[in-house]
Amino acid sequence: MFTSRRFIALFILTALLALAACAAPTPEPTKAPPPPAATSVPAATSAPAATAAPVATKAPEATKPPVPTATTKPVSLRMAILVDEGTLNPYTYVLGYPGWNMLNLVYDTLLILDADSVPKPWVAKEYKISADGKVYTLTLRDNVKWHDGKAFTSADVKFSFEYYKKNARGRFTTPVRDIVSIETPNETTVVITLPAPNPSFIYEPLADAPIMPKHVWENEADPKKVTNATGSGPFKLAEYKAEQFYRFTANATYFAGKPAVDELLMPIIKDPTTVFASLKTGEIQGTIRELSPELVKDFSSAADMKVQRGPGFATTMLLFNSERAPWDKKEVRQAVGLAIDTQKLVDTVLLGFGTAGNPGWIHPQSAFHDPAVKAEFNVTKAKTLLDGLGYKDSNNDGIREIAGKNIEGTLLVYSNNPQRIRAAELIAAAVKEIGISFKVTALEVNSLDAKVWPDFDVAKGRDFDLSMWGWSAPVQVNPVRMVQLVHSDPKVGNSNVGGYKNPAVDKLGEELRVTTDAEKQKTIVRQMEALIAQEMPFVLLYYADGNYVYRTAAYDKWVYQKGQGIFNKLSFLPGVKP
Amino acid sequence: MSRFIIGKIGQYAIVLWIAVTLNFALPRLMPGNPLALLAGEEVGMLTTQQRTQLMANVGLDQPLPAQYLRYLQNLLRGDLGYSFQKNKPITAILADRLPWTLLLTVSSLLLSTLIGVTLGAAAAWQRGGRRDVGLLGFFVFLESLPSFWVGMLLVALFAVQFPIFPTFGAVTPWTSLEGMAWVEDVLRHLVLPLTTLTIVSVSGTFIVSRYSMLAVLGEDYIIVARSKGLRERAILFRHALRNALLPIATVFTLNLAFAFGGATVVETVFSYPGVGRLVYEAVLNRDYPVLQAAFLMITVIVVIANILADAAYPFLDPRVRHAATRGGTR
Repeated sequence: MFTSRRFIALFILTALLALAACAAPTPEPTKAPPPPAATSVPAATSAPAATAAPVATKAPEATKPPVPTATTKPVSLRMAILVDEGTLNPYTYVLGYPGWNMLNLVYDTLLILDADSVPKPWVAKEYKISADGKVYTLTLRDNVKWHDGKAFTSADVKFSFEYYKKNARGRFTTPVRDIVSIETPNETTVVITLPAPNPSFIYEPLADAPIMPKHVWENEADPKKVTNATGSGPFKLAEYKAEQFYRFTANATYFAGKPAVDELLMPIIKDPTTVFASLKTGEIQGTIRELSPELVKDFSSAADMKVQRGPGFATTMLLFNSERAPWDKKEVRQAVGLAIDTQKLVDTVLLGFGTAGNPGWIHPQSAFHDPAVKAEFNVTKAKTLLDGLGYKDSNNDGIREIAGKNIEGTLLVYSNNPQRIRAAELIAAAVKEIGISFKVTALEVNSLDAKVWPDFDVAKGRDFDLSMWGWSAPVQVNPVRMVQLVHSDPKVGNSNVGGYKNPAVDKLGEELRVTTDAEKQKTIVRQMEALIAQEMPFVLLYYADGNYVYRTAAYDKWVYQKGQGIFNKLSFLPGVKP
Repeated sequence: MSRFIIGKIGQYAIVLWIAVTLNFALPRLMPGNPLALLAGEEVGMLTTQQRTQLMANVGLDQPLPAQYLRYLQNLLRGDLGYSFQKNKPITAILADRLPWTLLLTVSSLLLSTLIGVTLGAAAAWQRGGRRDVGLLGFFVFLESLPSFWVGMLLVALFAVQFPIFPTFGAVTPWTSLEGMAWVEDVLRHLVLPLTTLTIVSVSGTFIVSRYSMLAVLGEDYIIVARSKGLRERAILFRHALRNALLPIATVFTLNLAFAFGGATVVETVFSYPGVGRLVYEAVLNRDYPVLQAAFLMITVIVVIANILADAAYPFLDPRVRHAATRGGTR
């Protein structure tokens, strides 16, 4: 697209313009050239003005806002993302959000998470689990077609799962790793046998791993080099220009009906401030980017725009290195937990747009949550706990000592996350009240990860005292995943980054991992929730709400998926309830 | 003369080799590695064997000396490698992006040099006068402005408040403009980033040319020229500015190299698809091949800028010309 001749011509033109611009102020000793910009600058002392500037409510004429009601006129929607997601196949997309969500516009999963984030039948119109919990029999719809017109069959499912097993890709490989066999007695039946009952299986892979067309992928040795994005989903990837934009067009023959948006344009805008400026000008009509709490008010009052808010399942926590003294002592962790007013953090850091942390991990809006488990803020009790351990401040510097040494810890936090840095500072001030000193240190993402989670392998140990940490929404969606966070065996507790160990927790976790009976599962989850709240391997600080803003005239049929936001397949299929 | 040139080439070759080696070593010395990039999400759930396999796929399981040798071999063949993140050959990525960065940086460099030199000379001409003090104060003020802030301000003013220019990109996406319409579109997208980059880079040139001019204006030959009764303008351009150009030329070539770094922030604010942002993302993701290639490219540009400066001095300054000739024939 970029011929060199065109470029040279353009370059010369620019140079000429530059020359022309400068030809005017040749030094004429008598007339002082007035500094042109000087007057406009002082007016802009409120720096991040790009977003706070008085709202331009009118979209520029050039961008014709599509008429939402007209069924005859095609609906075209422009929605910005911030990072290039590559060629958009299961092996090349970059971020879990929104990359995976974009992937799901093009591909389908066998089950789908509904608006409550519960797995429901989708391409598989029904599924049966054998009494021993090991055999899954799925019946596929017979009217599903790939974008190229070929039929979607059980062979594609078998092929995809086996492909994931063979070619490592974190999110999709692990859930299919232990599959014993996949049989396809006919074109619409898939029988999957597992070595042991696994209640997570309906979440991952069934409602998570995209099914790839066998006829496209079977000859591909290097999945990262596949550029063919043929899927079966509601949209086709019509155009992708690296670092610039994605263009999706509606799949008119989608099995669940044609999506309500005919054309979805997703430009890549790298700076969040620019994203929201473009939303104000109307260059874009929505974004996957959540509004920061400071911007919610500004956009809520803007005409033509709507802010949709809902619970978020992404977590923010204070993580202890449970292998390092004194954080290896349950009472010390509890004291720190008691010293932190999580509701105050929500009010200060999130300006109220969030839910205070449940020390037992599970989001209070989850069906699995036990309302009896609650956070406690009690400075006196915290002090009593530390007194009980004999940790006193004997030199009157405000910090308690253990064997003459101050109780101190370095609290690590990502340097690119101002919200977490603010929370860390507030926490440091709070624990000072009970005589513990936290030194907040901001580190670049990879450098922090290398200390807390070297090589992303908990078996490789850890080198930190305390860290601000968090897990993304999918970890919260499936309650069984809490076992990964706390189990002491690195193979099971592969997300136990704090190195927490407790035989009672391990035992419950092992039980939970193989329990498929819904009621029994809920009971064990609640037992574990209570135990984690008691043991405090981490202090769960808050779950930030999702605030999403969009132009209502462009499209307003968004479906807020509990804990995960508005950018999902169901948002484009109004009226479809899985 | 020829020995002089061979000596120079030798020097530059050594500089390049050191740079290539550092470019190889530095990314690997940073904490962390590209495993997360290779594995995608949920990297923590992979088995040790799967991790090893992923690293082996891109040759990162080899000992460092072996990786280094392979890197040098590929480099000599002109193969810059394959980006872990973009899953594309780096030459293709750079070919896409370099034109945009060059368009932005070179235009800004020309613009800021023209403005800086002209106003610098004008200020020096009336040293201590109102115009001099005013301009100096103004440019010192510009110097202190952070580029992202200037960029956001311009977006707020000229894209949001008064929707004259677009807020992002180098061209309007998903359109297929041709000919003059395309050029116009590109220019419209160029205005705000170019203005930002020029605002934050013009002060250096202004200050250097002002001081350089001041030094020249104190010379005897200016007094002679004045006493000859030459017109002010002739003195300024023919006698003073020409002699003041040498340090300005040095600053220009140095700026050429630094322009790439300065463009990173501007490219981010305006989502301009250039090289600067590529480097930034590669650092965050530990995308070693991209880092190596991008740093190499910047090194090469610095070296070329130096060669150009070396070559240009004799034309700008007869004294250097004679010294070089003497050095060569000795």
